[in-house]
Amino acid sequence: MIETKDLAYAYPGEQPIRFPDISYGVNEHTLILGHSGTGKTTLLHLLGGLLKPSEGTIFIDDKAVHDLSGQALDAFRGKKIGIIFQKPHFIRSLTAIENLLLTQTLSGNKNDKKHALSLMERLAIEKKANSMTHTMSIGEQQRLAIARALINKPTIILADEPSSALDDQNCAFMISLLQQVATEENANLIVVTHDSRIKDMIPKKIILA
Amino acid sequence: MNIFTLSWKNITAKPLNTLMSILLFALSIGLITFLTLLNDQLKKGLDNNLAGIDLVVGAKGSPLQLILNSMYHIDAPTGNIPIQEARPFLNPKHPLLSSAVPLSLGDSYGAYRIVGAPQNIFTMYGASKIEGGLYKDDFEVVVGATVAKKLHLHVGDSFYSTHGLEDNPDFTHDHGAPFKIVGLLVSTGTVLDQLILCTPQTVWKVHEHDESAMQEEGAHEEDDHEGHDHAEGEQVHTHMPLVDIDSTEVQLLTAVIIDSLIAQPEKEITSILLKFRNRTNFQALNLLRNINVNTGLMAASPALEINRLYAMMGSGTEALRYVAILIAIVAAISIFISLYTSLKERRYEMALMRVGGAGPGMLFRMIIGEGLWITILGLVLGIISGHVGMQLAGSILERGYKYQFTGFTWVNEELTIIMGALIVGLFAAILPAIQGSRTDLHKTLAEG
Repeated sequence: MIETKDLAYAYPGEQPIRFPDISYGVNEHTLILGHSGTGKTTLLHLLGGLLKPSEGTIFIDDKAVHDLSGQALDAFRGKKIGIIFQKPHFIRSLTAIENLLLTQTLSGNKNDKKHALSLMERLAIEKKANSMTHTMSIGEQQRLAIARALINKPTIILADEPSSALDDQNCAFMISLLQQVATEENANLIVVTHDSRIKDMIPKKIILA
Repeated sequence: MNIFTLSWKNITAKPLNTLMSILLFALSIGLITFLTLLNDQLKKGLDNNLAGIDLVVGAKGSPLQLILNSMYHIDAPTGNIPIQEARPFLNPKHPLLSSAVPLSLGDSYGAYRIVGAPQNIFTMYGASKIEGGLYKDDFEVVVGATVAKKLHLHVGDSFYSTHGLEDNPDFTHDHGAPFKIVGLLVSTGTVLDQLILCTPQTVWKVHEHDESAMQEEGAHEEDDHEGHDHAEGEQVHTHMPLVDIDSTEVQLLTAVIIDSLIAQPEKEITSILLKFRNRTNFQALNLLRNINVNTGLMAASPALEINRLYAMMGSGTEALRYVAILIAIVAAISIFISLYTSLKERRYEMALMRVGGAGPGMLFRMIIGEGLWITILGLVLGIISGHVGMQLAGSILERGYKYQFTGFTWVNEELTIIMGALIVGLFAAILPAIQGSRTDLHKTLAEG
């Protein structure tokens, strides 16, 4: 569950960017479309608790995220939000499964190796569990990034341009995979993109201008 | 996954950078540990050999040289003194002196000195057990524990001495009577371990015989006759029982030797070790000055000279210690640089950790952890190599200083070294850790 009202963010010395109000229930997947410079990444970071809004309110699961700061915000982010970035990055010194386990630790959850493995199995990368991440193919890395976003059973999964580096076929596969696992995990999927190929794959959309 | 496990994985992911920092740190810690051990053992060794000796009397020269030669057996003698002049100190009824040990030097065997002295030298150095017995006749010798071990000597063996205090086979006396081993001393931890002891007369006789032999034969044939002969070709040595050194026997034997020395006032000895009856006696305290001013002899106080020596040696090890500290600083800078550069490379990783719920404190602890791992590994490696180094250097130093060194000992200063190293490591990691913990999430992630 997510709800924003009168959300705005101002970079130092610039006009504030204002965002439309958002309101979704469980399992409502959404696309946020917009060209470069329309504040897509800013909105994603606001929703993910990486930036604090200059104005307006954000409620996630009835929690006033705009009021949180410091440790409380870190903990909230770790437990409730999973983020998939444009380019998959991992902790280089750790194996695939260790990256998932570290994500559990960081959120304050107990290490659950079984859960991590079953998640990898569902994404068909369980054979790579003990590989170093930089030895995996881009496709595998992207699926590992999805696993990482899901590992703590978050309320919201934010995906930042997840398809921009993929060809048409993989792009379609990626988006349907994201929707499928998000539904299975009872999470809201929010995809932020300028990629017009996925316009029709997710029915609900917001267009930034 | 523990945060310190992550630190460990991070430093082992870049083994070469890490190894460089560890080795530098280990080098400095090893050097400091080595110096600390060396200093400690030098001091202990010098102190052990003081053996309660209050005064050393010998020929005029350098007082430090007299002490080093007579008590530590590491420098050349200052010269000889006629018994005529030394006679008052040999008087057993001297009002100020409780014991006096006259020493005669001149020969060696296998680079170990042969010292002619009455048997009370054993009491002076606190030797209490002996395998075999004390020497009673000329050319009988008692061998110190280290000498026996290094030269594989046994009771019953005999050997020819070498003229001079260095090991030089060209000067072997192979005329006249050989030395016969009658006793092996149990280790005393003093310079006695490194000596071969016999009567003062033996030392004279070796040279008298040598001179006459030279006159008779002129230059003698070189034969490679070196080393000791085993008595009657026996191969298996039977060990003699250990016996206590009997103090009344020592007194009797000493009295005989002292009497015979006094009876030959024209002969010479090298020096005399003296112990006071009462150290606080005013006259005893004045004895040093009296001897130096009023006689042709020189007296030196071991305590005074050794303190002077400490002061001199101290500045040498001090200088080395600064070098070690300099290396420690370079090591700390190397830790700092390797953490700082990896910080730049890992900015995105840190942002990812923040996204995953890690607070700034956790990133701080992770980087401090990396610094500490390197420090601890360097510390362990350094301490071990310092001790091993001391053990290896010990055998070389033993020759020079005439007492034993070991690497397998622990001194309390090492605790200070450990604390100091941990603080240095912490210090090197703290700036990168602060920097890392301040990673700007939004900016880093937006830049990709």
